[in-house]
Amino acid sequence: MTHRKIWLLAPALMAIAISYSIAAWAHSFPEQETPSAGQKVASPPSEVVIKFDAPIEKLFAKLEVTGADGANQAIGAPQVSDDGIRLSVKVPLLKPGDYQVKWAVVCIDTHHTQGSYTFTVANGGS
Amino acid sequence: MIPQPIFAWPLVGAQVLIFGTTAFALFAAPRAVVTGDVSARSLVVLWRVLALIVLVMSPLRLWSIGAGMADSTFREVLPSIPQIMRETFAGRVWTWRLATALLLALVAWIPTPGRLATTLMFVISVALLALQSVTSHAVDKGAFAITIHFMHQAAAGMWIGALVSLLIGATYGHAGADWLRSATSRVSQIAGWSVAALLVTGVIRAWEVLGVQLDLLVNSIYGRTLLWKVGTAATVILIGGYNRYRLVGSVNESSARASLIRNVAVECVLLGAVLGWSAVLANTPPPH
Repeated sequence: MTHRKIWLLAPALMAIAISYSIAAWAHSFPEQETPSAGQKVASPPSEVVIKFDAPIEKLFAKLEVTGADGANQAIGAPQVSDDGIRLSVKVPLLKPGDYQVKWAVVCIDTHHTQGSYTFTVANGGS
Repeated sequence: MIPQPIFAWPLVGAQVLIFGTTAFALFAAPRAVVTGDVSARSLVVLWRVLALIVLVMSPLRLWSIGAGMADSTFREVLPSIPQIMRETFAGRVWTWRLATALLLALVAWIPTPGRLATTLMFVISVALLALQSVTSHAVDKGAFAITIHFMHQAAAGMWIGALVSLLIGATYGHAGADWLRSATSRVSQIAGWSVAALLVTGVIRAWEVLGVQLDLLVNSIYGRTLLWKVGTAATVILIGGYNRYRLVGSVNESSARASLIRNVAVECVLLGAVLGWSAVLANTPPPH
């Protein structure tokens, strides 16, 4: 292949290379939740934990667990592990019912992500 | 809320340009550029202006990032900036960036700049690019991704720095035909290697991706912005290819020389736009 052809091909190759990197560097998103989204647990959890796919900033981490009455059940401020991956909050003995977990974090790349999911504590759990 | 790219664009552009132009002056320019001729003096003026841009924009950028992190207004976040600088990863890195920006300005404004000052500015600009990479999206993925991000920036810097140096030498520097012939050949080589490096770093980044969905290119703001960036960069490559194979060989002719300088100016403007797209991308959540 001549230099001229390489030069003409370069823009196309660049487009492909950069296009493939489109989702390479995302922000922090949950990788694993405990209890998991939509899960029906037999015994109430003592804490709600979200493991993220990238480190988060403790200063801006928010985690709420609300029941049917809309009150936040979390005990104290949410905790972030030293490696910034794990966000957790203690909860009291939860009564049977549906609970919504709302989270909002700032990744160490300074960008926000947020979301919510629900889990259910089955009857007879407490 | 003022859009974040308004602060990011001039800062990233100035850092990349200082890196690229000092690298060109130190390692690639025809000798006259670094021995005190008009071209060198023109570059010194450029470096001083760019260093001031970095010095002024760095705290503003930190301020805008703080407002973004706290999801509040500039006024509301101001009292929290010291806490953000102490307690967040980005804040701690930005403390170093502010100090480095100050050092760059001090060196750039040394009354009698010479090769040592140019070397110092190059080293400081390398540090700034490294710190920029550490506060980019790449930080989510670890040291390898940060290194690739740094190389991507450095390659872009070499490319635009060589072009801007050529433009300044040929216009404000009033460099002669010999200088232009020699510089054009070197710039062409640097552009080729830089594009290759951009391709390689892009491909390596691609390997890190799992579950890439190409439809997101047109179905997300991030993807569409990326397409604009790639399209603009591809246009620059095509112009560069035309210069290399049509004009460089006949640079002794005044008409070809004029066309070349005009095209290089267009390339510089377009690469400035590419940096602008990059600033937008850096502040746009990628699709997930």
